Amino acid sequence: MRLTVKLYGTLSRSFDGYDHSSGFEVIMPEEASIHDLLEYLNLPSERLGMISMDGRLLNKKSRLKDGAQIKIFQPISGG
Amino acid sequence: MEPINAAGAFPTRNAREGQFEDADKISGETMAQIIKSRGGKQTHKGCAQCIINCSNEYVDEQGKYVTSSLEYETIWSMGGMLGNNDLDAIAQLDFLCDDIGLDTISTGVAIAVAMDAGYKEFGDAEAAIEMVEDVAKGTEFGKLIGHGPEQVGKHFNHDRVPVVKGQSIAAYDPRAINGMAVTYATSPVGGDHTAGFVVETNLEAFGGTLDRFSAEGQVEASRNAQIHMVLVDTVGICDFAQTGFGAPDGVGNVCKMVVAKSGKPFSEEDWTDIGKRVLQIEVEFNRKAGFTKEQDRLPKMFYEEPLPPYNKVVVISDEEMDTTFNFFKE
Repeated sequence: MRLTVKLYGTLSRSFDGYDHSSGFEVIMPEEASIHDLLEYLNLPSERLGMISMDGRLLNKKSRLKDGAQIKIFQPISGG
Repeated sequence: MEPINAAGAFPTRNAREGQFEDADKISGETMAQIIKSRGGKQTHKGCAQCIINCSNEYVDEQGKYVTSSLEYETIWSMGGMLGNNDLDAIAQLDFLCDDIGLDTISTGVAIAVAMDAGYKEFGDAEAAIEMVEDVAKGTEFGKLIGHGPEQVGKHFNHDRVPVVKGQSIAAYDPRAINGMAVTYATSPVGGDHTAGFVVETNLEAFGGTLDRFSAEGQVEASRNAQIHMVLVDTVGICDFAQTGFGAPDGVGNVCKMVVAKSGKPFSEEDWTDIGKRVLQIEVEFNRKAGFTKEQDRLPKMFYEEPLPPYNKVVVISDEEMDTTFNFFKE
């Protein structure tokens, strides 16, 4: 399945040529999970905060959908 | 911004929704790109010796200075809360508030209430700028905006006014994060997210253990955050710098700093004791000024209007709210 991935905060620094306005496309096998995606992108889980798919937060049980837009965030703090 | 927007907790168009479809046009990442491409400062040192460098300098297309620093709450109050996706207009609104001497949250929400009451359309950035300029001009409407969202709501006889004790809530909708419902409702200072910030505790992805749509554990979380925050404010630590408390022995280290400065003993027990005492003094002041527990409630919109896209409401009961300060001494 095809996914569009956008990386937030400083997560994109390890991706050369990353353009935040479009993100980038990732092709994953049909039954791929979030865990598979993160492993593929080489994003260690301790660096990550929330992950959303088409505007909804994912939890550990969520399945990825073909054509979805995935946003990956770092932990945030703030006011 | 985008994480809170993804959580459906980003109050949009006077909190009619919790997600703004144009959040990516006004997000921190977009702002950083714009500032960089125009030659502004994505980061700079606001406070001497600090390593966080939370400030920025927003510039226009000609590279000319507009405002500093343009922060999340303002981008929310003048952006999502107004249905406004124009970051240049938001920067201009931030400048105007600084120039005139207005709080950006209160002013943005005052405009949002006016728009929600039909005075102008949501998304009309020019109208928002005119309303703020009117405050400086001293027009009748300008004076109304200058008095804040509660007065604007009364003027229009509008029933959707997101204030507690006369002060607006902030950029975290309580229906999507029930812990913030407790803080907004019970804090002696009125709607204030910093008084007892429990957002991370409510977000599983950030190591939070509370279900943000449930009442369980929320009162305790807000109570503890409010007690803690009293001391953070009292010793004068910046709200961003207080992430340092997450380090091992964070509170202990700050207590050592207090001892070093004061020359007197100061322990972690003192930390919470003082927090409790101050909250009690503040609430007693409010009571003497005429506030009752009826003011420790959110406006009914938060209990009755499900917030899209997750379509939940605040589920903290009045009885539970009233247990927040159960540590007060006779």
